[in-house]
Amino acid sequence: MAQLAAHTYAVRPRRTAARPRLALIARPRQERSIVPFAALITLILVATLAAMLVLNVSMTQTSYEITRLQEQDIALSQQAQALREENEMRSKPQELEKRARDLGMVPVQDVAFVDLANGRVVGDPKPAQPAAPGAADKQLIPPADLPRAVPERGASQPLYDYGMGNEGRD
Amino acid sequence: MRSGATAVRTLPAEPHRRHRLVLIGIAIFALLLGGRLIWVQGLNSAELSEKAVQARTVERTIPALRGDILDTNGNVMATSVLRYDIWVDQRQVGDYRANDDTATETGVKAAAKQLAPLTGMSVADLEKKLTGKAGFQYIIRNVEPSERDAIMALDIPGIGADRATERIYPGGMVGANVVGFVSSDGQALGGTELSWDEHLRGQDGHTTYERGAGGQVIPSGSNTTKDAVDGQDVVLTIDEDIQHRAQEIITAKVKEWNGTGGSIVVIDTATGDIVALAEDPTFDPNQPAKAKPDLLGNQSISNVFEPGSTGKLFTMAAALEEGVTTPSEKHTVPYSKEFKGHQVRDSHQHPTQYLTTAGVLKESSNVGTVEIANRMSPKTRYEYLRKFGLGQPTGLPLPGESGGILHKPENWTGRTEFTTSFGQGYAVNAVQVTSAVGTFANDGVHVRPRIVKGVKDAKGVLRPTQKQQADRVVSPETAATMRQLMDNDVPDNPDSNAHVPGFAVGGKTGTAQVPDGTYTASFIGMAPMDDPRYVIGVFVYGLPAYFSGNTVAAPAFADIMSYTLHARRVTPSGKDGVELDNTWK
Repeated sequence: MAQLAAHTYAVRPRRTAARPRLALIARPRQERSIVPFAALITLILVATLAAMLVLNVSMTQTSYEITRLQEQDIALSQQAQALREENEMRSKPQELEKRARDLGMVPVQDVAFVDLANGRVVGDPKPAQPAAPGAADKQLIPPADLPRAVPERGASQPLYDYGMGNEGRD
Repeated sequence: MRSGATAVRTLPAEPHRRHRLVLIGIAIFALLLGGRLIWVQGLNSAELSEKAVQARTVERTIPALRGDILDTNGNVMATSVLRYDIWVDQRQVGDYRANDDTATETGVKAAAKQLAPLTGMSVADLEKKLTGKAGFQYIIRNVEPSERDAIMALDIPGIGADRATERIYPGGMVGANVVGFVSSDGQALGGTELSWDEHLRGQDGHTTYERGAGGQVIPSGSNTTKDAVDGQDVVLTIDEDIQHRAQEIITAKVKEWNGTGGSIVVIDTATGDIVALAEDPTFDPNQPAKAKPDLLGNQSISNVFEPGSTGKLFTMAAALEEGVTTPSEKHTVPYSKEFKGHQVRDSHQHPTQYLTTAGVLKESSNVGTVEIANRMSPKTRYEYLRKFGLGQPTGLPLPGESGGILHKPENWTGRTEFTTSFGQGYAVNAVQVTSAVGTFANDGVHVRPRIVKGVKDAKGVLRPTQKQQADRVVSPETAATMRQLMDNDVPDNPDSNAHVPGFAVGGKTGTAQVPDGTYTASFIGMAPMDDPRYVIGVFVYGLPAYFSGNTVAAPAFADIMSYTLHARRVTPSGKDGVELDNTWK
């Protein structure tokens, strides 16, 4: 028995190749691409620039819009002024007198009053007589000596006047 | 390894050298550019951007809009409107339609033809204005916006338009003496325009902004604005319609009787408001250059004259107040009488008359008046005249008022002591004397006249002027008696020149001789006599012969009083006028 035991030993397989050195390591890391980050940064940059662009464009557009509305405002104010002037001129005593005379009316000669309480007429009204020629048919106070508007031709739209003063062909 | 060929060609210079030269060239160029960039952006940036800002910065005055002048009902008597001045750069006109193949004419000729119907100027005139080398020449000024639009639509090179403001007076001559006028560049020169200029002109503003190529405001540029403060509107007490009618009447009267001029003053007795202050001759403030220079003022306050018989009213009032006479006191009045060596005569020969005090006033007897006046000292009479507001300016806020002439009683030498009792020997202006007579309508209190009702603030609310000064001159009883005397003066029947149908009228005529040989005819009266609302004075100056106040002025008075009462909706009360005893034998 002892002999058996003495001659029993593990048979080591003979290695022909070099033995790889193995070690226990963690699972390999997935390599992170830089693209998304770069894309994000680029996106932010582009978005910012775009926003600035949009703002600037919007501001400029608004500025043009303001100018257009100012023109409109001026055009309407001019219209309103012209109408106001015309209204004032037409309601002046001289204009009214002229138009009345043109219609053949004469200045009142007798004035009478009606008492609304009892219907009584105070005064002695008579039908108006046509004015004697040369006497009351002349208008003594002429209308205002203003140049009358020349009939307009050409533009129906007012031209650019940015409202800040002078303009010309430059 | 060299080949066998013996001809050794010289190799061209090695490209490396050329390359290097080019590279050096580029490098130098880049260096220069880089240097310039650093210079512009880094070192000199401040100065250059400063220049750029200056180039696009625009400074403009924002003109303040001048306030309007309105009548008591808000009708516009003076206003500022937008107009344009059309100018030309003569050097550019030649290009008009130069590239247009269909044009039969080009340049100045064509432009003049197009502009003529729009401007109302002749083609020849326009050609002259458009020809030359001037860079700036006015063609026509103060055109309306619609005209300017039409002119600019022609697209004539070199034609431009400047904004301008023009002051217009839609009523023309009506109220011109009160409203006043401005110069062609907007400076106030007379009337209310001048006296109230401080309120009317406002304050100019200022704006600075950066301008784009098309003229727009650059929104992100610097932008400062100080707003203009527009002028305030001034509201007068004048009623435009009554003013117009008064002007018509006085113009007709002056013409009819060949006077040199005339005035009508209409005052609301309760408030002292001057409802109308008309005169002839006058001017159109839209064209002040066309008027005679001495007509550009207000003759009704600057001209003084002796009131004549209307002055008897003040003597009578003083006598009644002092208690030295009563309306029914009996007098024996010859045509002529001597006082202290001076002969006083009545205006017309008459046998001795037996008149009451009321009759003395009605007949306008100088002799009778002096007899009554002599019961008071000159000093007393002088004080009453002063209390009535004579001899001092009324204080109207209009330029050029004369306070009249009233010498101190110590200087009433010789004839003057007596003539002052019948309205000669002192001088008044039309407003002064009319306002003084208004005292009797106001229960004996003299209210100073006013012509400006108030000023509108920024919100359009009227801020009235201060209340007028009021002084008691005579007692209410004396004032009532004076009204009776004046009522008695004017018979309320159609035969009387001063008669107003439906109303009791009171007043006094006046005819004064002026040292230069002409006469002033006047009539001052009030209505309705039971409660007078208006006092009106009519004055015609420079009459070539003796035409009495009754003949000349009284009918005009009836006309304007009638119009005023109707316009102001005063209804007849139905009460008859007062008649007193004028004679006693």
